[in-house]
Amino acid sequence: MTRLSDRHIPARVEFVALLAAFALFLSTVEYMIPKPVPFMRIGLANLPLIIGLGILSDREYFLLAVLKVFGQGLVTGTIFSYIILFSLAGTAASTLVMYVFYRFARRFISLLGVSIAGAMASNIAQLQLSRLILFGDAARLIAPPFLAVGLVTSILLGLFAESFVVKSQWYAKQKENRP
Amino acid sequence: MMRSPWDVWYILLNNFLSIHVKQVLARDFDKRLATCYDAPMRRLKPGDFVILIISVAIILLSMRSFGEFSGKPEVRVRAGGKQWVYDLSVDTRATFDGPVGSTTMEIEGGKVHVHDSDCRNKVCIAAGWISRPGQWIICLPNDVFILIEGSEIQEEGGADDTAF
Repeated sequence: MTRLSDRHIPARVEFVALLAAFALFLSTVEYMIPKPVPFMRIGLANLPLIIGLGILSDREYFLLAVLKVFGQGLVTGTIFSYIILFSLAGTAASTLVMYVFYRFARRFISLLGVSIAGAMASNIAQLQLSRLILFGDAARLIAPPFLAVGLVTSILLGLFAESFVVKSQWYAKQKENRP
Repeated sequence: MMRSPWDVWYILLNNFLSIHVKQVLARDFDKRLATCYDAPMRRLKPGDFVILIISVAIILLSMRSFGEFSGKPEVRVRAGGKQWVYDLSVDTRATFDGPVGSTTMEIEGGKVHVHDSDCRNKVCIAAGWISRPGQWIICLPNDVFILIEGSEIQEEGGADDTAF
């Protein structure tokens, strides 16, 4: 079911803000976990975006994505440096891919597939960007571990999101209220 | 050691409680486990596995290019305190100047040899063609050292060479 005419419905600012705060908190948690490469991400902060797929309107969803980028930049202190470009590219790619997959292929894939596809899109976008501006051709060297870590964490996140969506009464209520 | 009746009661109660609590916990845990892990598993759809397989394929592909990047055999030449690196798969001819004169190295079809040298003994020319990582040619009078570096795995027919 596609709803192209929700442009006149205002975004529920408080609700998006709640999920954005959740993303901000998860960014903080992720920032605390030590990582070998600074921008090697676990993708915890993607959880609100995965869960939000089913309970947000299109506009709210992309608003949440933008807020997540700025939240991550704030937490990691990279908001005014070029590193925010990585965050932006990764989030833009994963958001678009997850949105397209969820909207148009929901009959064939669950949130697990959505999560994996989003993580791969995000990581590939970041690798391409790092090839352009940071490492040159040596970006190939970090590609396999980078992608493998992303795959594992996205599988775990996808399974969690799927079980959350099945069991949470809060989610069920929000889904009914979805504009 | 004598136990007072209170001790006995205490032990009995303790045993009963621990067994009972354990049983309840176990039952409850099984139930929780079932709801936790079965629910998402049952809801997985075929597309998930397609995406998973594609992702693994992408990672394997990236690993393959990783191997090519680091394991490509290359020719290192040291002459007169300087170093040069040549690709073993590109046919070239290069001349290096040393104390005695000039030495000409030739790469052709994945093999290297010294084509011509101004030294007296011509040992370097007599060394012939080298093609495998680890092999080298040296021209002592003219101070030219040629070495092939890279991983042995890339070598074609390496196993046949040792088996036959």
